[in-house]
Amino acid sequence: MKTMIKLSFVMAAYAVVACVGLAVVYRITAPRIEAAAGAEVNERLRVIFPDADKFSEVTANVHSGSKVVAFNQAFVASKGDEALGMVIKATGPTYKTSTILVGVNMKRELLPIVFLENNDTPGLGTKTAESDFAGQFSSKSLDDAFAVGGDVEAISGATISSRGVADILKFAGYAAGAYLAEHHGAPAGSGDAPVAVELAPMENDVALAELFPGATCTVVEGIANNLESSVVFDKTWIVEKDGAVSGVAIQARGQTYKASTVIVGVNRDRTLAGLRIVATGDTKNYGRNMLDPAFYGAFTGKSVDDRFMVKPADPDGDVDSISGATISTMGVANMVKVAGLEGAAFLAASYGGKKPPTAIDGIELNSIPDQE
Amino acid sequence: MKKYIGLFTNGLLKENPLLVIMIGLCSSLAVTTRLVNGVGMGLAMTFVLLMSEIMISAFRKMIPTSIRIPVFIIIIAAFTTIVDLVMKAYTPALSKSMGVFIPLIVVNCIIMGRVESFSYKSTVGESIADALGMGMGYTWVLCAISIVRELLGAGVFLGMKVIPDEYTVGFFSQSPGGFFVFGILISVGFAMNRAIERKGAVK
Repeated sequence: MKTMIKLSFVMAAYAVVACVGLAVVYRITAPRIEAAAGAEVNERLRVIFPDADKFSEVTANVHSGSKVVAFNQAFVASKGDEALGMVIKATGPTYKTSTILVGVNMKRELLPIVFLENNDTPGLGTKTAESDFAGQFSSKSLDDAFAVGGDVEAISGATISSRGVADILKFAGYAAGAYLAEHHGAPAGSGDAPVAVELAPMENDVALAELFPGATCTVVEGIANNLESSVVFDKTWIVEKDGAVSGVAIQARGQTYKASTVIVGVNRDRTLAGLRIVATGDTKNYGRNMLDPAFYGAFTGKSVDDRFMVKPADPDGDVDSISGATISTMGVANMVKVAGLEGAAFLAASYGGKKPPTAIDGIELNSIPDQE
Repeated sequence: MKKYIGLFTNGLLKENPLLVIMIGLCSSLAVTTRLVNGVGMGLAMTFVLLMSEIMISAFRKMIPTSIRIPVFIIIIAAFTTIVDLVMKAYTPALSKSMGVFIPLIVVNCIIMGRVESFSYKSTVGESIADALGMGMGYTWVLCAISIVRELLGAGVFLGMKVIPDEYTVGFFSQSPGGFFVFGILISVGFAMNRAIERKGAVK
């Protein structure tokens, strides 16, 4: 016991001395570190606005309102009393993440962009910071589409990084343009503000509320899957609106690239109320893009009797593959098809739903190739 | 005096921490893409090693054996943080390009190894000679690796562009290139050590 106390005191003594030493060094260096960081930002801002004589920070007044692209800092550049434009320091997802200074002038045009950080793959994604790619955004109008493959030329082998950068520029640029229009009399933009979507799976109740707005969903037994054993129905709901049964919802689980769980909504007229993803283990940037509303939204309104074959593996397919993630797309399409047909069959049998055009005798599914 | 010179030269080649003892490799492979990083890392590490060895050998009688490791860590961590803060304040660009590897000096095996196996049992003078030898031994190897990697990978030699971009080999800027150059350097080190031994045997 005595040694224990003694040892503790010895340790504490060393720790105290070390901390005092550090505190002294910190006190001396802190102002210089802060000044160095400030000077660096200022220097970068001066690259974008060489004529400006003043940069006033307006970070508190500019909000990204998005969980995806964050605005770390914002500055208005001015010369005398006249505003020259604005710079937003924005961080957003590329392949990993990038932090970019996005400058906008009073004519709603982008100025040369400056990368502060780029965590993408060296030699591929990091090429977005090089002039060949970054240069194409100089003087680009904020009202352009910023579509990779359209008005933005992608880096070969780094499409995802290219798209990420274009999205950050569009999003931050638009916010800067809007701020300048509101506070400094720059022309206002046309069209809707870009939205930075967060790719996240949904909770069951959120998914159901989106698929069947204003309806009540009650868990129901009796929707069985007799078509395909590789797809599992975890949970099924009957959907009632205004006192009448309008459809069913099925939570299906199956193989995608890893495994995913989706909710498929089926209406009484054999159309899909839609598809939502509630869980996926697929690869970030590839299969995980099934979380993009542009992908799952495309299923809304399709007939359950469609083929649900994935292009381009099936040249006559009716489902577009997520770029770089054919296997994930096939898995989702299969789940939608199985759940859609079984849901419609249940509605037809029990609630007077529309009957299939021809008797269903075996179904054709996308054949998912073996992996690894 | 001869003893101190012996201790100093020991770290340069005969017991070089990287080439012979082969400890503390991760940071040395990671930062050596540019010569200035190699020099910066080498000096930062030498400073921490020197100060820690001095402190620990000076206070060795006041560090109880049973808690020596945590005390070493406190001392090493304090000096590492000092280096980190000073570099951030006075050489921000260098500090940025070395990133996390400066704070990681805390867990560098070379420092832990030397204070535990040497300075805890030696006088301050011997420790200074050992720390300088080991530190310089570490630094010159880093410089050698980074000169080769910077020349072949980025085409830059001592800050001058000597090879145009079309002829550089990107492989050397990336981690496999680091292992490759380091491996060759190990064999060069062994060859040199053997040559010195033979010379000694002939005498």
